[in-house]
Amino acid sequence: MKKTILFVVFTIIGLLTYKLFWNIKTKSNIQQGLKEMPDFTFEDINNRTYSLSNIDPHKSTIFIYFNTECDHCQYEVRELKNNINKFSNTSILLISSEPISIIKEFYKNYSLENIQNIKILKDQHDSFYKIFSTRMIPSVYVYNKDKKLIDIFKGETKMDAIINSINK
Amino acid sequence: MLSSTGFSFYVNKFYATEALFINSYGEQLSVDRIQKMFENGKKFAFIGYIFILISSLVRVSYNTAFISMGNFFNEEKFRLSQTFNVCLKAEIVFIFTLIARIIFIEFFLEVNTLNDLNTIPLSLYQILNDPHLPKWSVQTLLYINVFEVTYMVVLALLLEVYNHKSFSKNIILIILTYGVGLFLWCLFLTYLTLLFS
Repeated sequence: MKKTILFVVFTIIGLLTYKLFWNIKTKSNIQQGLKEMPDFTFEDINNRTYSLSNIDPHKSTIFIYFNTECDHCQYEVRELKNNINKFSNTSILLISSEPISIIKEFYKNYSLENIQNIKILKDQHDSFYKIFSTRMIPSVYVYNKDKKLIDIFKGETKMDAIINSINK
Repeated sequence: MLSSTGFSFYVNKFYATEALFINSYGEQLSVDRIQKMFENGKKFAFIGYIFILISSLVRVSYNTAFISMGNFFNEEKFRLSQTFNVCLKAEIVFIFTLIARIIFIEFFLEVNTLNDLNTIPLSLYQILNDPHLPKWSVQTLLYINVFEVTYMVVLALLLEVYNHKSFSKNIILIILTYGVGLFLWCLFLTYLTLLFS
């Protein structure tokens, strides 16, 4: 009986280790793939699909994964608004996995509807994690107009760092 | 437990300065946000100390649980309180870890960022000294250190006093119990780092 328990315990530990290394390999492959803007499909607040084909080829693009409740994300959005004139040649995609009603409220409260180059999107079916392989909020991914990855910022990031990044 | 809290107090008092915070986060955060973070860190430092005390107690209980499971499988007649006592006594090794860390910080380390303060001397991480190591490997490499090995040896020696079994049998028991527990903890930390990095 005890040998059976030990066998089960060590088999579970073995499987957990295998799964972890498989995750490491998958994450590494995903990160390699991010060097070019990945194919993605999110939904805007009017339930319309927004995907790679909607990206403006003449502008840099910034993906910001956020949560409306997170203080650092709120700060990031406020700072973006305050510095929006420095992002005139950039599309900013704010992506959240929260329910659309909450995202809409945030959009309204922060008066984002008046800003042309900020688009707020809903992440469905955990696709942000599947594509970008992170759950960190806020996460910022900066791509140039050739859809090449310039920088990744994990956590709150000052605007100067993001602006420097889009000007590279 | 008190030594861990003492170390944390020492680091907060003498090293965790505003300049070090700015050095650590300056590239990504604005100065006013770093100052706010620094002030909050000072204000709520006592929560950190309480957390360290609780986590030390959890650590001893966790070690006791794993070694007790080993005793159960070995059909040893060993009371839980005796195992707890052994684990608590063996914790003395970690006082030496903290002394070594203070000596290392004071005399051998150039502290440029907060990350530098997390280094454990004589760990695989410090020996490899490679800034390009993947983030997920850092915690595990920090846990592979001379002090963890010493802790296991001391545990085996203390168990020998109680169960009168040979050192080799006890060290195997410790590796299969404490070692497995530590391995699982490292897996958990690696998983969390992967998820949020």
